[in-house]
Amino acid sequence: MQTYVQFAILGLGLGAIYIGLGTGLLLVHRATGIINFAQGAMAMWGAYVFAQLRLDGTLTFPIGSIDLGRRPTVLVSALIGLLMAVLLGLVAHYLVFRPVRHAPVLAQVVVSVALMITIQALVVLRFGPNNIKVDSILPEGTWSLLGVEVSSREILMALIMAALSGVVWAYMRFTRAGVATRAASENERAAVLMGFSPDRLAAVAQVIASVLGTIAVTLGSALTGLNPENYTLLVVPALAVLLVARMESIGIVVVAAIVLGAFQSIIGLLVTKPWWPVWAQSGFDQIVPFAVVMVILFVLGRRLPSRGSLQTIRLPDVAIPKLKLVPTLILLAGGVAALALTTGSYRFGITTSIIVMLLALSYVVLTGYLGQISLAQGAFAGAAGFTLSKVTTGWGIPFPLSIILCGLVAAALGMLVALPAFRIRGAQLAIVTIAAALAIERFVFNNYSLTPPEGNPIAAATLFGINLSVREGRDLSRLSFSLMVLVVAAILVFLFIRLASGDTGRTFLAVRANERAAASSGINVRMTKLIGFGISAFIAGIAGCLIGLSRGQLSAESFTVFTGLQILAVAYLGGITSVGGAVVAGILGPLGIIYVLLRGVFDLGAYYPLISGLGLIITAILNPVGIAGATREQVAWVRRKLSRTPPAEPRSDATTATPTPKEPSRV
Amino acid sequence: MKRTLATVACAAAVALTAAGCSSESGSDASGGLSGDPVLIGVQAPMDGAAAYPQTGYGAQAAEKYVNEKLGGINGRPLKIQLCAGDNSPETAINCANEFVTSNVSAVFDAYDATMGAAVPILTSAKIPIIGQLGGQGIADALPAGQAFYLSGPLETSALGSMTILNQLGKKTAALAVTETPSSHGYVDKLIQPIAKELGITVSPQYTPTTNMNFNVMAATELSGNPDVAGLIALPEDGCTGLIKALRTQGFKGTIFAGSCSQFVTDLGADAAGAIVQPRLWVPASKKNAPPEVQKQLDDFAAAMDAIDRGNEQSARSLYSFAGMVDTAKILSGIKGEINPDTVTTAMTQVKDFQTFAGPTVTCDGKQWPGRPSSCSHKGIFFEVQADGSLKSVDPNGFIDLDPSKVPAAA
Amino acid sequence: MSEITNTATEPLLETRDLAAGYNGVPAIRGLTLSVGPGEVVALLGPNGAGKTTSLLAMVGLVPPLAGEVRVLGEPLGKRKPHQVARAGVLLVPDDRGIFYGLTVREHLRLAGKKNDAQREVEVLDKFPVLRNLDSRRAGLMSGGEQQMLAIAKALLARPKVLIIDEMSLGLAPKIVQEMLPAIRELAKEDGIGVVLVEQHIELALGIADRGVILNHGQVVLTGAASDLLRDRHLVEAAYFGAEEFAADDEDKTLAG
Repeated sequence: MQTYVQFAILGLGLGAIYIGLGTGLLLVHRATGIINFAQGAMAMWGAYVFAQLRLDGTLTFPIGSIDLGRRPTVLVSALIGLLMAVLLGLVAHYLVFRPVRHAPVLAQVVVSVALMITIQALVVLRFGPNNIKVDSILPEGTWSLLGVEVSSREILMALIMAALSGVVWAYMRFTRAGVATRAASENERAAVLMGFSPDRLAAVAQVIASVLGTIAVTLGSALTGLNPENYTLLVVPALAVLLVARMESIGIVVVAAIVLGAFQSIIGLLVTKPWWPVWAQSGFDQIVPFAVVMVILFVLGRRLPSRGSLQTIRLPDVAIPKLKLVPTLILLAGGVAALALTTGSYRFGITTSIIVMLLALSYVVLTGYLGQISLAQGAFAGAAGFTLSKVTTGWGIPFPLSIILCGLVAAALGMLVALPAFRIRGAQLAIVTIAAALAIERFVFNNYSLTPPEGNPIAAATLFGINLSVREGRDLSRLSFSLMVLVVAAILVFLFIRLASGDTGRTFLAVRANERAAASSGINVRMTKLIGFGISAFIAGIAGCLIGLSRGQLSAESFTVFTGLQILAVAYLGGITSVGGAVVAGILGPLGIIYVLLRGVFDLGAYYPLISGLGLIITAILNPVGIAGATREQVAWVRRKLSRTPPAEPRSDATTATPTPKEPSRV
Repeated sequence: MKRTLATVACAAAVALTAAGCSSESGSDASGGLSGDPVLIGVQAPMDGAAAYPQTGYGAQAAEKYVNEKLGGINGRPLKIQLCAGDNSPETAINCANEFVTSNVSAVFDAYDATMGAAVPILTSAKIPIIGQLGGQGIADALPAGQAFYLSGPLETSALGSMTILNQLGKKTAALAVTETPSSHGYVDKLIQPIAKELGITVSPQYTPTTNMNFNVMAATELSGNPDVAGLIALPEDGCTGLIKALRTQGFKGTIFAGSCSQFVTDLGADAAGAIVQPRLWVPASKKNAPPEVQKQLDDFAAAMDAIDRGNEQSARSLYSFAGMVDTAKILSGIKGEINPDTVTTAMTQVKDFQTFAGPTVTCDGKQWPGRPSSCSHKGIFFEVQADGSLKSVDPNGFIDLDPSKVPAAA
Repeated sequence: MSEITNTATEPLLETRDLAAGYNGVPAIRGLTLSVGPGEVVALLGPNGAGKTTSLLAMVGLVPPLAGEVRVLGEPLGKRKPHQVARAGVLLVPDDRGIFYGLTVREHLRLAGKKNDAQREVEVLDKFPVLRNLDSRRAGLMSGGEQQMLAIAKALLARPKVLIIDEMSLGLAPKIVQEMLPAIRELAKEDGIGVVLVEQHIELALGIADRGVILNHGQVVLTGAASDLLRDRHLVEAAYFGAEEFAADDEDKTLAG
């Protein structure tokens, strides 16, 4: 019993961090309606600055650094760290979040995910990828609590963060700005009409959230050291806490955060007990936030507040694809030529680009056409890939059947994730999918019982006696393998185009545009979502199988949450609404041809996540139709100029890109 | 406004990239030797969460040392192609592809846990893998003639750790290890059976690499009141943090610290009495080491200083350094062309070769039953003294281990 | 009741040939009207005439496509809507512009200027019902109480121009009959310029000084309120058979 109390108290360290992040998330959501997936990443920057100052007196900026000579005191370093947090909050507000305040939820989710990737990449570049030690601001010690010796540091952390949360609560209740923020979150136009600038209120909220999170991480990271991956992802349990608090109540955030931290700590103790099942040893503590998220959203889904804001930008329009024979043949011929004329890493890069294109295509189906936000495509791909390992080595199922089977496994998983999508949408669905992806990564892919330590080898494919393995001897990337990938991709794209230009495609678009209207015109919305998730996951699954075949070996690191997010980033960057966009995404994507070029010729591989993150932020803000869409617009513009027809009257059909914003009720 | 945003962002991206470009470019390590360089690939886990960048520094120091102090490999400069692993198999695969494309004569495994992913590529291209010690159980389980691990396979650490605990009369041990599928395999398939053979109960404690809460780990270990607390394998700062937490929570018993070494300097008096089990005579053991080893350790320190890494003289940097130096010496014995085939032949012919700060080795494939890649079946253990130096537990230094205690290799 | 006459003849708010709309398509064209201190102008017209669009354009929520809006003699320019509100032009929109989750006290707190307790007393004297509802959440109040709150908080901020959109929507006529004169009183006392958009022609013209009737996005009839009340048939014609008026580019004004 004593040990459980001790462990519960130890869990308060994590709980304190959740309090900081959760309160910040709540405040930013109240002020802007945006769920800031980058909250954890933003919070760790200031803590890193603090840690580095205490390590060797270097003040690190995103570009450049200043050597202060000697190490500043703890107090001075902490203050500098907080100053950086304030600046970061301001920059994030003005450059990243303000431009998308009236954009559709997808753009907002994508932008905050992009910010998360960018900050994390920047931290890795500026501070290194490894753990760094963090000075403890609070003294170590023990107190006697109910006769048990417990660590005092964690209790102090939790008390401090709870007090700070109380300050935020008081801000919202008692100050004019705080009340105005609450008002604006309910009815933004009315607040504007009363003379309040929601933008300024949002900036204040963003700065407070950044500072609060930074304090929490600076205190809490003394227990574990700072590490870019871990702290970025702490936003996921913080989101669970946010949902438990129904995005409204700071008091519940504090309580839920403490309970979650203590609970995760006790789970950590329980998994070491001999009676705990071996298959449930790794990553079980990540299941908890995910389960919490699912339960809350199921039970409370409809009743969670969504913000009434003035939406003036819409999702990019979808151009119904048509299968044109000549361009298709040219494209295919181009692909074959590119593969035949390159060798080694470059051919491997092109092959990987084709596979990434399929992953991006799965996003096009799900997000571009169906309008659902899912951050879990990487998990679907991984599920198929890992199944392929079992299926080819254990059961010896031959080539095309094996990947189809595994694609179906992924589809089944996708349809499972579709279930919460029945009741929730937008940013909340994004939260569920990222929590699911994290839980799957930690609990399933990393599970010792499912993935043996020798790794997950994947037997090479053969078809009618043709050897389709990826490598042989010194040939790192065999042509037959790459051609096989091209053929599979072409088949999938063909099927997609048939689907998209048919009834199913139009049904998807109807659901995307307005679920209620779609339902009232006789569309079975639930079935449509189920099909959409299933098809999207199937495509992702096939891509996952191809990834496995191209490597010969898979591990949990192949399909992390971050990989999935990077794919989303390039998918959006390329253009989330078309096959062309998926192709561009493939070219730009991780381990694709551009990546190989950067790594090989310029030795800039480490900059890839940073550049793609920044690129995504810019695209999400400036140009929701992505690169492919922009190209299409340019081509159309050129064509118009060339044909010298008078400019057409503005029409509101689907082929033009002019959005029609919602008009206020007219009298 | 949007245009301003775009320009700002582009400028930022360019500036950041430019800032990165101006970072260190390789300095000349060829020692003024002319002739065709002998190219050896080095796979070192320098990035990522479970990184040990010292493994790379050791190899770099060795390159300079071999060329400047040992006259290269038969007068030809040694050139390493250092590929930084980041704990992901994808990077290991990329590295292996690059090694094959660059035509390296051999690949040195600087104790990278993802080496297993590179194995299919390297064996397919018939490039031999040489290492000081293997950390994944895949490369060191290869059939004869494909891999050569100078100080023994993965099993050495398992057998050694249990052997020494048994010698000290310990019966229960709570030991931490990083949470990866390979560590689970290591514990379940090697540690636990060997411990059982020797009558020791081991409670493993898995901790995720990215989130090590030392207070929690120490408390968990001590909750079972073990004879021995400590770790099987953790990164250096994990080691230091855990041992400090154990002492803070009042543990006075024996601490087993795997092959960590930095905690000795960091923790001072708290480190006394801990047992470490490196593969070689680590720098901290210099004071109580035989004179020829002392000279070697001095050379190592000087070589690390020469590349500005004088404060990174941990066990892992020594492993890479010693392994590369040994490899260079062995390769110097090759008459004629140096390519993967001749390297493989040279390695199989190694017999009673005195390694740098290590045991004498023979790479005939018969040193460890079931593990033809192993060149040795010896182990060495040190106890931390009150003055912070290491003293060998056995006065002879390296002792023979009994591989029969290891369950039959799969 | 003293009427404040502005020594300068500058209108508080005026639009000159204003055209505004959505997506490049104008919903109103050629709107020219002005409101002086203490004046009450009723803006009338059938559904879809463009009344709400006009109001939104006046406070900067809809950007002008042609023409301009001048506030206190200065053009609106690039000012954001919240700056327009701070400058003293307050719009009470058709959704009442209140916050269901906030209490009356919180509304008044947001609306009032610092250290202006006196004003609050004045305003609450006009709407004493609100005194009893101090800690009631707006979402739990009746329609009439909500409308009172909407107007009271606008008045609390000492506006120079008060624009009210569809105040009578959803309210019992009796309540409307009580509130409108109260607004007129306060307007005259403080020299506020008031623009009222209304469906209830009688009620609106009853307290207004002038009336402007829109149809199909253009002004089809203006005149003194008393005249419009007297010549009902013209008003009806403006509402229903307005094509003949719309074809005519001149505003119809009534002499006398």
